Amino acid sequence: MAEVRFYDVSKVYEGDVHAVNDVNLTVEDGSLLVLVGPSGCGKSTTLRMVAGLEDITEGDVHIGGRRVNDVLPKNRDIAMVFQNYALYPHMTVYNNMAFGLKLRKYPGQEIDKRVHDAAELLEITPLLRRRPRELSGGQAQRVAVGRAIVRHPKVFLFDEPLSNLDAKLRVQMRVEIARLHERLGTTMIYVTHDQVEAMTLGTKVAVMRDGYILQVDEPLGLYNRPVSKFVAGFIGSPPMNFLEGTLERKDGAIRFVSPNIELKLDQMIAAVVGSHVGERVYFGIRPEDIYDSALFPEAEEDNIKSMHTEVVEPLGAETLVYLRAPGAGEDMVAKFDSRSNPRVNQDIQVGFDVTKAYIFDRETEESLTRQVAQDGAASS
Amino acid sequence: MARQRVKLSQVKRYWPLYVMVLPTLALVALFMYWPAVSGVYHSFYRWDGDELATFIGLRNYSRAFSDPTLGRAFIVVGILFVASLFKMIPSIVTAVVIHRITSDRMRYLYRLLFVVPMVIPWMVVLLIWKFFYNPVVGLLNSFLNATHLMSLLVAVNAWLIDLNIAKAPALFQANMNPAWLGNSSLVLPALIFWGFPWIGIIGVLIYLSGLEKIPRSVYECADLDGVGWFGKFLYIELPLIATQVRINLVLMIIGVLKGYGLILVLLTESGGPEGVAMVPGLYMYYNAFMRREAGYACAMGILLFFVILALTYVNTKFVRVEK
Amino acid sequence: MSRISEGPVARVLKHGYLWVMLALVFMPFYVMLVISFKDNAQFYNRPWVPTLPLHWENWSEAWNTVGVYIANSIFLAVTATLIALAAAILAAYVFGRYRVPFGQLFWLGLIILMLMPGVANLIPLFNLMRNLNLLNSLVGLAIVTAAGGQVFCLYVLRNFIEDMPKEFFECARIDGASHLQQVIHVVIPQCGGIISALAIMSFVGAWNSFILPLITIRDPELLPLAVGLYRLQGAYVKQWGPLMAAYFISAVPLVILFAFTMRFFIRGISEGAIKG
Ligand SMILES: Nc1ncnc2c1ncn2[C@@H]1O[C@H](COP(=O)(O)OP(=O)(O)O)[C@@H](O)[C@H]1O
Ligand SMILES: [Mg+2]
Repeated sequence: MAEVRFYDVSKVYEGDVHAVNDVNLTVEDGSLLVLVGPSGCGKSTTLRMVAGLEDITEGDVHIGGRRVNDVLPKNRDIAMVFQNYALYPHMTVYNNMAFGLKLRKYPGQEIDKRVHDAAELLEITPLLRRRPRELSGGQAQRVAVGRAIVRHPKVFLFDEPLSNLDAKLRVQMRVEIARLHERLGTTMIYVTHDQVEAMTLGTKVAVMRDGYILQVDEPLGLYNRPVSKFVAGFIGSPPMNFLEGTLERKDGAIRFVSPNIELKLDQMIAAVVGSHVGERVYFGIRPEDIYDSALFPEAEEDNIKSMHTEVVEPLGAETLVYLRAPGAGEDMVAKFDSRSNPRVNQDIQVGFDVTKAYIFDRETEESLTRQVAQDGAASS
Repeated sequence: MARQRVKLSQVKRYWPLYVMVLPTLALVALFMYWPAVSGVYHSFYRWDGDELATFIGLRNYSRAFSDPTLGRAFIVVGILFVASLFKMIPSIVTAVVIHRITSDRMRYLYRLLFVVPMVIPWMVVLLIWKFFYNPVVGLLNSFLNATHLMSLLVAVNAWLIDLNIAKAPALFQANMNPAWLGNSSLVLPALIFWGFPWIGIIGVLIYLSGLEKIPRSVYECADLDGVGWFGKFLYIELPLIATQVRINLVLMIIGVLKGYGLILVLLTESGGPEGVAMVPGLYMYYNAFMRREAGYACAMGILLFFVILALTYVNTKFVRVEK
Repeated sequence: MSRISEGPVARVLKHGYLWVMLALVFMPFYVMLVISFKDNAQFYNRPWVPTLPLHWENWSEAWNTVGVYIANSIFLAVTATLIALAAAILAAYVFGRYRVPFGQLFWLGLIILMLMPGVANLIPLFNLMRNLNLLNSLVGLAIVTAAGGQVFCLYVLRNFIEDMPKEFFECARIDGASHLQQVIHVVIPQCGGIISALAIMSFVGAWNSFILPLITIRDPELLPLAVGLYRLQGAYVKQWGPLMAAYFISAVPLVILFAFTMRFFIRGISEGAIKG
């Protein structure tokens, strides 16, 4: 058991590629931290520095209170699961799992016990004598996890372990990994580019972009209080709608004004953005906060707009509606619940739940509405 | 491609890597780099291959440029090179034909059968060909006599002499077996014909592996478009093995230009009657070991190196491969 | 598999072509076999068809002459192959996985050497071997043959290892495998096919080596096969029967080798051609 800490960690690859910049991060003992971000943002590099597979250019990494910058991978007491599983094709499942223990000269009985325990835990006992090419994707995935488990490491590192699976298996394995974490109680760092995976798996999620960590928070924290337009757009599916415009004070209220749409801000939001009146901003609203106005009586008159339906995608429980503001203006996505039944190519009335809106600075893209307690606003 | 860089300063951490390259490094440095460097060095000396060496500057090189034997040798190797280009064709054709066999089992069988002759040692192949060309007991003359092709050759030869195209005395005369490796006019044709039907199994296997990558759908599509068998060869198969052909071409250039073992065995060190088959490699060997002019041989080696370098460059530059 | 539709004519043409080619390619076997049972009288009368009686004694006579050459060649080829592969695998691991100082320079040197005509270096090499006391010795010959042969192995294997997913090695590293253990447990099992193909090619290369033994081996009882046969055909008042039997016998070791390794060889070349 160990906590993992990053102190001002940077990584510069050859050719002046700054892959990771000034990362400060604590992964608490026994917790599961998910590192999420678009591909190429430096997640793998961060993870590989913990594993010792990449040199640390600057800063320190500590595992269990010990600085490990110069410790060889095999002495760090970590185990890693790779995206392509890296199962040795010439070894049986059993030997794949036992390989690390054999290299460490564990006694045969101990190896046997550990392999069988892990196999049982992962329900792969019947596969032990097969070879990797005789395994399905999901089975290979389990074996790869099993190979990590048998070592009883202090820290588990996962680098996009589910990316090679189909959607259904991915959901299933996600649940299993969460369960595994609960059972073993070992510190885990889990890298993924899939925000849904991050949200459902992490007790803590760190969002990365261009080598910087933008925000570390619990899943709902990221959803409700994104620090920037990037995080807001990255978390949630379909992503948040952004409109570009200015804040203006009219009739005692603050309004967001863009060429084709004008919305009146909620009081609590208005209270925190008051000092930004006259500035260029992004107005952000999630698809789930745009309603069929017939089903949204709370909406103020000012925030009900007539919009044109471009595409309608019924998904069963909900319907995605691609909307266009009059005057060929902004495009938006709304997520209606199954009670409304919009048709394509029609003008419909939609209501915006402005209590759940976000305002971001046009230049820095930072959130101006972080102080608003979103949970409180939702309940009012 | 993302190989990890190891810096010289990290010797402490990565010393096993250095130990692992040591055997290769030692072997290559000692038995390849060092002789090469010594060869370059001695190309500026009059050297008997032993102790006696006197510096003579570039005189070995100027001598090479005015040496008519060397010039002839380059012409001969040029002729052999052009012939080798054509001798690449049967391997390509054979690979394509095997590839087009429909039954998987037959295809494998053919592959296997064509590999079998590889078991004959190269020297035995040469000696059998030498025997084949033997004027008295050789198979070639027996074949020509038995099929009366010899009479045809004699007639054609006489006709050409009548027309003043060929010179008397005739190469082919009635009741006289031509000495293929003993008559200076017949040596080059014999060398070109050597190895018939010119199927190199390694080449065939390499082409086959290229052809194997063509997806079935490409053929089906071609069938729908009404592409014939030759069209398929031209538009589907040839482009796909172009890379392999080019690799073989480079290897062939190097092999032909450097090679002389064949001629040494078939025609002795002096390159056959009147030295007609003297090639640069053999001429170097001849100078180094028969005339003990090792310095001169080294200088010719360097010149030959530049010729090979130039040809390889031309090949990579101008023989374009469409991806 | 990618095949094309064919009519009966095309079918006959294709198989016909291949069988004609095979007949030509197999001709030397026929020649050797038929003549090897003849005495010279039979040979001069009817060289190309089998004649009775069969002179089996030609074969024992041939074996008495070439047996020692074959033994020498087996020793030479096995030793050279082992040295070449051992050195090449280790170095290929290093060059395929890491960028070591002066690595580029080393490779450039190898390519230049490949273009350099061997004869130019032959005399310096000869002198070097003399100074190292490697002349007239099969071990010395094997070492020098290996030095040349390993370059090709190194080149092919490096490409292979470079293309292997690096996770295999990283996983082994985390598991605590040293570099040598990574070679043994990861590289060798996974490159098995191509390594056996290279082994066969090295073996055949050494088996056929001619110029180097020609100038470095003096003792007749140390001669490897190629030089031995070369001397034999030059020196003889030709007894064609025993000579052909000797030729045939000298193909036998490779027949045995190929009988066991043909599959690897064909597969290895195909893999190699795709990667290389
Ligand atoms: N070995 C390397 N050498 C140079 N640049 C690299 C190397 N590995 C990764 N990079 C670069 O570093 C950045 C981060 O890569 P990575 O950590 O793999 O991203 P992620 O895992 O988030 O997709 C990318 O721009 C990538 O191109
Ligand atoms: Mg990654």
